[in-house]
Amino acid sequence: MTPHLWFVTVAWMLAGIVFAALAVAAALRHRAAEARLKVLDPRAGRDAA
Amino acid sequence: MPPTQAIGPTPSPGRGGSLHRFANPGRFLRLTGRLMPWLWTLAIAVTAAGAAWALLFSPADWQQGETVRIMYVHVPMAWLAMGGYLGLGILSLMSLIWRHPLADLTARELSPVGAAVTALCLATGSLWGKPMWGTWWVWDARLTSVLVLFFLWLGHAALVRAFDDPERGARAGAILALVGLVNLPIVKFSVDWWNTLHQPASVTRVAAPGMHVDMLYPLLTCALGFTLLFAAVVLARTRAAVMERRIRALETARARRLDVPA
Repeated sequence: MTPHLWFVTVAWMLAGIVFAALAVAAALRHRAAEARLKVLDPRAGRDAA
Repeated sequence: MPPTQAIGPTPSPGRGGSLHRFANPGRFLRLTGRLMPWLWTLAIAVTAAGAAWALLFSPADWQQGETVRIMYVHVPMAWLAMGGYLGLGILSLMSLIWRHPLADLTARELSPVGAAVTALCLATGSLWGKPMWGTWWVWDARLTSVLVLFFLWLGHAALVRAFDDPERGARAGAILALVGLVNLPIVKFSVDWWNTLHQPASVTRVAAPGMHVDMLYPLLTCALGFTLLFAAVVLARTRAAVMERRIRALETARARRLDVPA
């Protein structure tokens, strides 16, 4: 691997890691909110699905 | 807006009434709930196709060699940082003029994601600059104005969370976002107005793009993929925020019922 390819690899890995972290954090937060809402208000839980 | 309004009646439409149809949390959750699986699938498919095209099938540059492949992630992040901030400005206008409750929530959820893509733009730019310019950073107009954009995103994210009353925080954040809009033309035209190390626009210039289609098409595919991912993340965060607001409202109502003596 040439030195320049290392820069390419790091740039793409950074983008992949940041977007994956954002997506996982959003999904976990969404799932937790959905579960809590289903407990408090089953009708609202159906809306969220 | 105060949490108790979350399950209250939809505000009077007035001007911009069609937008208020989406202020109903139940309707918003139903509509976006149907959209989300398709949006995630499309976003992942287009980004994967764009990444494969950019990394495996597009040619190396005759001057920059393989390093040009950083462009396929750096340029979409720069477009998202600026386009996203324009979106934040529009949401802030909607919030200040029409008091649209979802505009407040969406702006609040947008700014951390905007800060993340602007940080990625700066980081990938640095990674591109080191082998090409021989330096990680220079204080030229383009890089400095994008750094200011990053601080505006961070400032908005911090300001809207700094108040006990979410409505006051949203209003302060909206004013900051609108003031910060002045930075967008500075970012865009910094390479024309000042002598910078950063190259001038090559894709979005008025004349024909200064790039061969073998590089332009994968770049546009990557830009579309990252834009869809950005939209999916912001929409998922906004959906979670809407549900959390309803949870707070329901818990507050339940606590009040328990407080009332029998």
